[in-house]
Amino acid sequence: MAKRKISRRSFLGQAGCAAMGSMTLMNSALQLGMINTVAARPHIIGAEGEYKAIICILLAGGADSHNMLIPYDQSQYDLYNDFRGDLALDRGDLTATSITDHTTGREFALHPQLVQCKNRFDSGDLALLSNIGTLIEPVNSVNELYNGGTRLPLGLYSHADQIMQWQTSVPQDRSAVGVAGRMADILQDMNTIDEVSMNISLAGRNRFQAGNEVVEYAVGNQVEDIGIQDFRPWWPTSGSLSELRNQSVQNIVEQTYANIFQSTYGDLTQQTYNSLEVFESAINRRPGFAHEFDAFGLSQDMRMISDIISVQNLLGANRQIFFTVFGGWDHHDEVIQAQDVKLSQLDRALDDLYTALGELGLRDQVTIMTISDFGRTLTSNTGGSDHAWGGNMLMLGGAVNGGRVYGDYPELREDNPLNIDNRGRFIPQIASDQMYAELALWFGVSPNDLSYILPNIGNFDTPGSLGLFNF
Amino acid sequence: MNKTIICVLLILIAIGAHAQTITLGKGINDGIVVTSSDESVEGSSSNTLSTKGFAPNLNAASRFLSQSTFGASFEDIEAVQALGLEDWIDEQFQVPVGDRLTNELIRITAEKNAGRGEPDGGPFLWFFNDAWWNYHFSNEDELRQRMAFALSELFVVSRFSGLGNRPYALSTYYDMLLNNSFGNYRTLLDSVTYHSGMGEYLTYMNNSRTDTIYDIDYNTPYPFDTLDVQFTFPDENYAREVMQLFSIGLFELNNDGTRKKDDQGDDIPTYDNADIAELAKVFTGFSYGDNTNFNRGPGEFNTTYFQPMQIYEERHERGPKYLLNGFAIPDRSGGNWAYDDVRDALDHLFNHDNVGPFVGQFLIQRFVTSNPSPAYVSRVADAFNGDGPFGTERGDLQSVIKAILLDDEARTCAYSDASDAGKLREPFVRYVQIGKAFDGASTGGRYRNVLFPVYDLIEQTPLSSPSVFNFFQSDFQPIGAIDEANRVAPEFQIANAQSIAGYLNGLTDWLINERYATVWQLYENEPEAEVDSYRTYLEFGDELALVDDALLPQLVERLNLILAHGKLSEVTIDIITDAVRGFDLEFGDAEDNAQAKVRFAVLLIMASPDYLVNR
Repeated sequence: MAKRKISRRSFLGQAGCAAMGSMTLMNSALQLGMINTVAARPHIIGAEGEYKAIICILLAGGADSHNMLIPYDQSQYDLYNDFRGDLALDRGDLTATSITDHTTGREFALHPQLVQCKNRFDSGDLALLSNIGTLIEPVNSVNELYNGGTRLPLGLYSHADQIMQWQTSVPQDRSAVGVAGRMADILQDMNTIDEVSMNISLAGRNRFQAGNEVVEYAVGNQVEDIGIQDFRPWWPTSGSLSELRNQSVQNIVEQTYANIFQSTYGDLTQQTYNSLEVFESAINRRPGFAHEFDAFGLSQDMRMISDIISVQNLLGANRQIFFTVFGGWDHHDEVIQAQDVKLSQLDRALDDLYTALGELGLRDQVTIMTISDFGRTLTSNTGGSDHAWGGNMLMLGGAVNGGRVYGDYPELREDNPLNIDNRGRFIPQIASDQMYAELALWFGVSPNDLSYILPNIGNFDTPGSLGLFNF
Repeated sequence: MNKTIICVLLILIAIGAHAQTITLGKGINDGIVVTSSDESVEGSSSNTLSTKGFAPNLNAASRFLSQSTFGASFEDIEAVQALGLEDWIDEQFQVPVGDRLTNELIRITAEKNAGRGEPDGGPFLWFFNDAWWNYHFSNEDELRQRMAFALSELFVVSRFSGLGNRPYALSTYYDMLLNNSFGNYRTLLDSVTYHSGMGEYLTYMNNSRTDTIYDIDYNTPYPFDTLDVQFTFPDENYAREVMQLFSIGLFELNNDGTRKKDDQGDDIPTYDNADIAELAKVFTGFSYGDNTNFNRGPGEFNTTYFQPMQIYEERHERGPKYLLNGFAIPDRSGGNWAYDDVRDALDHLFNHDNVGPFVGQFLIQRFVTSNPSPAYVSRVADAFNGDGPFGTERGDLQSVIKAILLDDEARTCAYSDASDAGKLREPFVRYVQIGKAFDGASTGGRYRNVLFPVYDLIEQTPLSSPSVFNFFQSDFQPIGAIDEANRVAPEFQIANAQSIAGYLNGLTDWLINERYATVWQLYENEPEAEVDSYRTYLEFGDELALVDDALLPQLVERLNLILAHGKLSEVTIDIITDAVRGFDLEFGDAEDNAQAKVRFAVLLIMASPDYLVNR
């Protein structure tokens, strides 16, 4: 199945002598996110054949992550309890999911529903990043925030901006492309099949996976929905009539069009058929799993991702970045009840995925993370919380230096110099850039290319200083 | 026979030879002199060659309607042919706005509440889509409908935001766009700015003047009871977007839409961050119209969206505001000083030279072509500016609409044959076109359509943009032939493998599987018959009599006229005719088979680049 790899550079060399037609085909494929590379970027680290994948789950709406990772040490818990008021979880309910940082010995607890996550933490596969957020440059205190000397992300506390900034890590630019897109710009050459992008989305078009040269390849989470559907399946002639449709459409678009819009759309349609042929034939050969995935949507997303990973060879993929959205976290109200449900769904889905990766023997080669718009206010507006900034996220995978809570989880007191106001909004002390940088280095991006992926990275500590991975 | 009449005859011959493409209209009278038979009235003769009074041929009428409406039936096309283009536009300007989306939303909500026994229940998000659909299939203000949709892509708000929980915000916003579609841009800008949906979407709702929090002793109890007081500095979101996206754009423009250059030959930015910070001070103090407390959120069922926002003076920035190009809003107090600030700021933006070309080019791109010539942009900008043949007063959108749709470049065939002519039809417009072209009708006279499945397939439904940057950006260049030709193609930004497959699946579902519109039950036991009465059924008429093999060319010709204004190539026509001939269900009765053949022909036409690129 795998085609001989043609590197972008050598392909461009050939294209210079080739007929115009092939160039056009190439370009339309670029538009579809099927091939897509940056020419002449020789900085790929890691031998081909060492498959790696990133899976990003966006908790859309701004998860109240101060109830996902809670200080458990009695004095720290008391501060938390005072600050959060009716949003505080009882310490007694946290015993079963309490965790101890393997290095610092600091005590925390995960939300009581994150039972499997606690087990993964204990086994060293899961790490947490505390008080992390989007930043252009470090902001060390409220004074710095307000004396005007530091540049701040656009639209702080705004969903529209913050949810994009977590995907782009360029908080000063509303039109920036995504982190994963820029990674794929650089790394796409590592994949040997052109028709299906390195970046695969379970959530349609998104900013995270859009690069300057790459767009995502979007699929649904049910295999039977992929591709161009047949006419009503109960028609006895459904198959032949559907084939007549497909053949006719392809005959139509294969014409030569003088109009550049028409030729482009025709090429895109043809490429769509071609990519579906590759993708469907690969996914239809998926081996399946002994593990039974939950029927919930996020678990079904994880099943599709696991299935795609299981046929990576058929897709010629050395690198893949997956993205999905788990929405509904904007809990201005009833956060306690809602998180009980949602976090159990998240815990189950992560467990489904990690169990499947265990069956594939690929845990060391896949890193999973959650991102979210922002953290929320520590204080309550009676039952819920409002938009804030720094929050906590989790990262899971065999390559992750787990059993750790990264960052200096702040003391949750109103007079903490990192607290912006008396709603309890904390200035993040780990930038999204720092987390993404280490992820990118693990993924095979050269240090020389980090500034392409993360334009603000130079404003922060040397990439690698967190120590999320061993390189 | 005098010389003039010979000229006219030559034109008629030309029409005969190129019946598919030539229209006579304003601007297509170069070199032609007409002498009126009544030689005493010199002026009237020129009217003979203006658009008024001239009938386009059917394909030209169809083409015109493809640019100016969501879609047209055969009868609609005939009517425009009979009426003439400008008369049709004038007639459309007089069609009153239909019953508001919001009224339908209220009705649906009441029906839902009655069915569920929840007298105080609020609306679901999809009710907005139901209401949108009901409006567009219950009213015949076809030009306004298309204009409002275009405006919804300029002044973007979206359900992908907090507004996803606020269907009334969406419906009242769309009603506002419909109300302003034939009005003045300045009034529209005002209505947009004061709409609480926009206030929330671009986060200047509850946006306070500088230093609000830090005037206060840090240890005193927080004085505000709900929601966020944003910052010590005014939120800059609206200030930025109202300039970048809604009025003047990023760079100084000539009247023809090209960028002005400085001495070094570089583009000249229209504003910098300091300008944004100053303008941001203007958009402070806004809160919901029915609030008695600045920081309170929207009312329980969002009825607050029915009225414009109010400004709390104590939250509005005091002092002068130094806006673009040396204009200053004075330090004022008393009267409606806060509102006066907003008025002055919007007036100042409105009078910026960029607005005509910026808004003009945007609307040309939505209606006619992705790459208008500078001369075309200039003519439309003239109309915006109150000049030129269509101009009345600055900002008059009726003038702009006429200037766009009746321009030589929109109407004559020479332009449509260029390799960069036209635009990719917007996927949602294509979808609606099916219902408009084939008499989409319900048995109950009301319409519902949740539209979510449509969005999942084609990534576009009203007020569903992923961000304030619309579904696609005006300067998007797909990699390949288009960007090599240095042209833009905004709609290609949402043409990807999934959406193209989704569109083909949509055509299959909407047409062949006869699931054009999706109706969801309002409550569990809503009777099926009632649900069905809201369904939009496609009604093919004369087409069904053209499915015999011998008549198939006539079927394809008719559909070519309705859907593609005759733009299908002969090769495409042959492929489609052959395919439809071979499309035989081999079960069911003749009527089933006829339906299937017609629907299949529509599917293939709508999948063809000849149709998809409107030129």
